Amino acid sequence: MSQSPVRIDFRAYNVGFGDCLLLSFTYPAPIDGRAERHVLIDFGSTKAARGGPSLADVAALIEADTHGKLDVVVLTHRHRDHLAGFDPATGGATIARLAPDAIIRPWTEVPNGAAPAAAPSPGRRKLLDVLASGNGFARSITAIPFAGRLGVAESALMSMAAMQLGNDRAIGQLDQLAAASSAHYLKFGDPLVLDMLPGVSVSVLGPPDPETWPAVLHQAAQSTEYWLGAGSADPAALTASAAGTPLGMDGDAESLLEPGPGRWLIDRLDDHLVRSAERLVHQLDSVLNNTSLVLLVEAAGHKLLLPGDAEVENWGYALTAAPDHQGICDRLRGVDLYKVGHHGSRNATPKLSLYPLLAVTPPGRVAVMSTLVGFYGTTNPVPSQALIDKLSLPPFTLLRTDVAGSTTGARSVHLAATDSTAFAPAD
Amino acid sequence: MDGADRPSRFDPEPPGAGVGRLTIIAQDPAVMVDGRILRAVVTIPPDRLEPGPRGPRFWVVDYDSTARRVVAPAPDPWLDAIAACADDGLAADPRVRAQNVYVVAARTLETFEKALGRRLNWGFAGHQLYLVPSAFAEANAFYDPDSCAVMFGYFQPAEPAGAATVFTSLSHDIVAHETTHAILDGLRRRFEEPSLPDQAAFHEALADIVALLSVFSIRETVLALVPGDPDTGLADESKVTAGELGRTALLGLAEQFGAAVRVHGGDALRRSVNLAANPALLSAPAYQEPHARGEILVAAVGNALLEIWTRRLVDVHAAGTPLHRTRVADEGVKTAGNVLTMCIRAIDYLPPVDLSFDDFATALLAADEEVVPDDRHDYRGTLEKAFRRYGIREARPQHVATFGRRDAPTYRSIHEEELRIRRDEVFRLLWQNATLLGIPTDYYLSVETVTPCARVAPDGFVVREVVATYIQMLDGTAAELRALAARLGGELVIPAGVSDATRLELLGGGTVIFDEFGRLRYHQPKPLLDWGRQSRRLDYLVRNGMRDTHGGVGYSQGMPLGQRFAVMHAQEPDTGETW
Repeated sequence: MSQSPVRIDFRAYNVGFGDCLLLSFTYPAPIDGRAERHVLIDFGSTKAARGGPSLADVAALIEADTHGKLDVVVLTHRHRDHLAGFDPATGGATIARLAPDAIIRPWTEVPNGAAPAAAPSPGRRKLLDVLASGNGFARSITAIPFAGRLGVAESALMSMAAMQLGNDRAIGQLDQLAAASSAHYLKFGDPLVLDMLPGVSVSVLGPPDPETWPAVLHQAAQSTEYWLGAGSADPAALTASAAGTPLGMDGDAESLLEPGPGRWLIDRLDDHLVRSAERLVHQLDSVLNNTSLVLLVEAAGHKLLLPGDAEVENWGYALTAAPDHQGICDRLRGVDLYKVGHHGSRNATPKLSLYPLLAVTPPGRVAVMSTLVGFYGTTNPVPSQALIDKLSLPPFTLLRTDVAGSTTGARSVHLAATDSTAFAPAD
Repeated sequence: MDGADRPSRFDPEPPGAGVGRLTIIAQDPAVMVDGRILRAVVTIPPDRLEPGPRGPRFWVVDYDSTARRVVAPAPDPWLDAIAACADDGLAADPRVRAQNVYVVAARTLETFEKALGRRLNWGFAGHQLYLVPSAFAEANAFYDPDSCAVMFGYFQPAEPAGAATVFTSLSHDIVAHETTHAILDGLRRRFEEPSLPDQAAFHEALADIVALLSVFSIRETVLALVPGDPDTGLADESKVTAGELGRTALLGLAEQFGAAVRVHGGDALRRSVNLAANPALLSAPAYQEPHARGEILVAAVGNALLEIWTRRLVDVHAAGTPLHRTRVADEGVKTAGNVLTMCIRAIDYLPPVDLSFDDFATALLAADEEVVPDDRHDYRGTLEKAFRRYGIREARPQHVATFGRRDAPTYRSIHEEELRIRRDEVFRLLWQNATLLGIPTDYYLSVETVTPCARVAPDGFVVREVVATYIQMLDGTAAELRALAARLGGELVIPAGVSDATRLELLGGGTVIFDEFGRLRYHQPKPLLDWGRQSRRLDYLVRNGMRDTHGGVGYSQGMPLGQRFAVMHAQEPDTGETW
């Protein structure tokens, strides 16, 4: 089996705010009866596009486009907008029917019941603790009843918390598929050999090991005690506070509520409550994004860079600190297709260390952004207009799932390249 | 209600005369002896207390921001709420929490003031530190200088089901730990500046050392926890060894909290003395995080304490007398008291910025040599060896020559009276002696604190000294500072990923001590132009993503000072990598 693919198809389905990418390789002659191989990278959404397909509709499209067989499934990280489609209630049953032979996830996603690896090192243990307690915290935030009037900040808090929530059914589905196939749990530098994809090389550029690169833990995760306890915070108080519910009193505490130093402190403590919830959720978001697999796929003379939602801290290791970072940067120069990180957020396409590598001549670079405007982020909206502007200029062609006219219908972006032609709209 | 008529506003001084006595929970509600929660009656300064309790240095505000409830304080703070409360009612009674935080915090401050021989300021402008005994439902407690407060959280342990709520305010160790953060912040404000990991780790280590060793000042508690037979009064000799004593509740930190959050096998939150000595720990990746790193210093001090303590017992035992528990306890109280005083006294000798564990070892030994020249029980030698086993090495303290030497400082136009109280006079002295002290005067130089203090000399006389700190700062772009270093014959290594245009701030400074005649006696410098240290610091900060909101490195991190204690890092730093 020493064949190499002669054509690559790249589809980004219009899932709204989320990622669902299908990478297909065509070979000159059938191998084991099929001349094509299919890799699904993420399948999720937190907000469907207006008039766009449901996740079940997208699953049906995947089934059609793969002709009933998936070879590899990649989950870059466990955020809902990358995961929700694997829930059997949406598209998971369809994906199971396509019987993927390999399931690839970041090292943080080893299922609880899986074969016991060596005990994780302290840095990894800490990151796992952070993720576990963060999930509990996000769950309690989303349980806040919407009865009170919630301001902009609180609404943003709620939607961000919803994003953190692991979808147990979707993860369960992936665990089942992983148990029935070859399962990979990867971090920076891990070798990845996929026999079912001859002539395709996949390099793992992220996430870095928190042991050598603690920046992915984010500063907030530096105190174990703090995070271990975060899961027990009771967000009900946030609701009461936001709704202006009067304070309760045990005994004659009237004097504490009168203007004065005691009252000053009480007001500060109330602020602390909202601030710490915001802070926790925001940081959890970054910590989880930074568990994203960053994959460089090389085939048929083309390079595709698929970074999930990796933020600056995740990129930092591969681009500036890894022992062979110079070599990595050299390989990233002239990537043909860049899946724009984190739906086009401001800190997932590092401006100084990544962008200049991608923006090399000759023209013909393609950037694909799977996103939805006006849904995520208030002070720093996603996607970032500055990034969109930059990627709209040569040498890039920017294709967005949320912009009508990229192509049509649910397959809102479909590109193809051959071993002698660059990526161009297909169909 | 008219405030003047409040029945609570009578003149609440402690019953009796010179001293205030109240009960505290000796460790926390999980530490029991004979099936009862261990309590201790302790003394605190006999201040006039208002309901809260509220005294001259602390103000308890019982507000729960999660439940959004305020609790009325006990009308008479000197009425002992903990003594009056049965074990099963302790956790439910807010007055117990209020009294426990107040008394433990007051004792902690008193310990520092006794060791340093002076009143201490807080790190903020006010005189009273707020203590909030059930601030929120979070397994966390922290000092927040912006709120002038220490907040104590509470939480429901995940298991076993139906477990009692854990109040961090009922843990002696946690209250003493957080109060120590506040006290140290007042003594060395700049230990909050971004630095190498030793500095933040020292904050944690000192807080743990104070929490652990101040338990020893309560003799009943030590006695209750010494292994042996309470009926015969004899100690169990097989258990009065350094190893066995290290496993008692005395050397564990925050037992109940630790069991509830299930770290370290559900024993204590930290039991640093069990950390096997190894000089390589300091460079191990797992020990770069402040709490973990702090444990190295705590382990060195804790093991030295156990060694001195058990050595004193061996001396007793060698004389052929049976070992009584009271004797074991008394020797423990004495040893721990001395070690704690040594650790606290060292603070005056610490540099004001970029503190390293080595600096602490140096300061501790130098300060103690001044006060106790005759080290009969070999405290210094034992500590020095313990430090070395954990890779901490003391440097040579810089004593400044005073008399008759060509390199003695000049006191031209200096007035001794002014030197004791005024920053400008200290600056003048540094200026006159800049070359001798190795202070580069081309860069920003400022005397930050001038603190007169008194101690008792070995001959019994009171000695009045002055401790002053100065800092130096230099900021510029990475390219500018690299060029400057090169021009001065050094090399500033700019970490990977830092562009030439990134703004950097370098810090330096030192501590000087004047003797009772106003003569310079001791200088502990952190040179601004130590390019090796500056390069290591930048590398550490960049590696750990510690930048300010404008992407600069080495500046305070774009947040109100003090939020580090809450691990609040709300803003996302702009590293120049964002769009």
